Amino acid sequence: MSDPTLLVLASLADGDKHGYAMMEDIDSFAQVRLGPGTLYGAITRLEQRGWIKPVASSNDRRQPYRITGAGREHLTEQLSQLNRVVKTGLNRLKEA
Amino acid sequence: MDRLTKFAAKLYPRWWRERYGDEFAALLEDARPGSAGTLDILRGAVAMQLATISTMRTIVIGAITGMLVGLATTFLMTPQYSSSGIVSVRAPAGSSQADVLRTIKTRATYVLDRKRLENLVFKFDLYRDERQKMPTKDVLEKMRQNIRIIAAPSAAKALEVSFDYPDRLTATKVTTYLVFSFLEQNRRRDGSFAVGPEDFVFELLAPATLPTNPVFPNRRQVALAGLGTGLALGGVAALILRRRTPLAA
Repeated sequence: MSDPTLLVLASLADGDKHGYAMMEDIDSFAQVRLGPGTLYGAITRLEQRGWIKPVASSNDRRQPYRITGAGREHLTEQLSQLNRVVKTGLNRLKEA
Repeated sequence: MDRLTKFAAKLYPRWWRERYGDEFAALLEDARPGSAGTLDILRGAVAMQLATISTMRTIVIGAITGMLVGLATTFLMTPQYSSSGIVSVRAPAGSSQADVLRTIKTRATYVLDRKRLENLVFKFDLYRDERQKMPTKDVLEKMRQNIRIIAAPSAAKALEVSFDYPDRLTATKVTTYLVFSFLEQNRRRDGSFAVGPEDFVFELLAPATLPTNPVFPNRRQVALAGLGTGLALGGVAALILRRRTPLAA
């Protein structure tokens, strides 16, 4: 899975994070190192679609983000779809 | 954060920098991107510019780019300067139009004679590169194509003789030579000058000009063509970009 928007949503699913924390988190759970341009391209798109939102922070430069209800729905839908593909693929590999 | 990374970050659209600039800078301080990271930022900036660029701006950028490319191309082309001189024709009383034309044709044949042109080529060291690559016959044919003898648009009963060449001074020298070749034939076979009322007399009306601007490439025309092409391509690009959802993945 390498869609940066999906990786960001998955990273925010367990709590608010700022950019660098997302980058490290994604690296640890997906072994994908997102570049700064790719990460913020995804953040920009996700915020414009209303799937994430900035939250107040004591450190005003490191801006944390939170996944919204709509973002959660979208993530669930995408992961379910992905899950179906993974299951089907694995089953077919077993049968072959 | 190194200079190149800072520069790449400045390439994002202004609205984006106003909204995300501070937090993006904080991320860069933490992440310390290497050369791959800097490239990623550059790619992100270009993608963001393309995703949010306005139709008008796309068209304007296309037009300006087209014009600049057109102008740059003209500097890569070999220029052609055109020098021209005017010779008037005085016909004897009672001579017909056919007589005048026949005389002009005879003199033009003399001026464009193979031997004379060949002498000219060596005298002024013309077409040096072409002479290495093609036979003399073809070089002379090329030279003939660069010579024009036409009815002068600015004077009655006059011929305009012109020659196009990449070097403006050489173009002037050769044109001067060609013009005087017409006058040369005012001399009769016995050596005396044919200037009486019964003779066809060719006279110098305007000496060969020293051109300042090349006739080819015409920079204004090429720039305008580039502008037009750029406008069209900018319009197409704007249409393509408008079809995409803004900030689509």
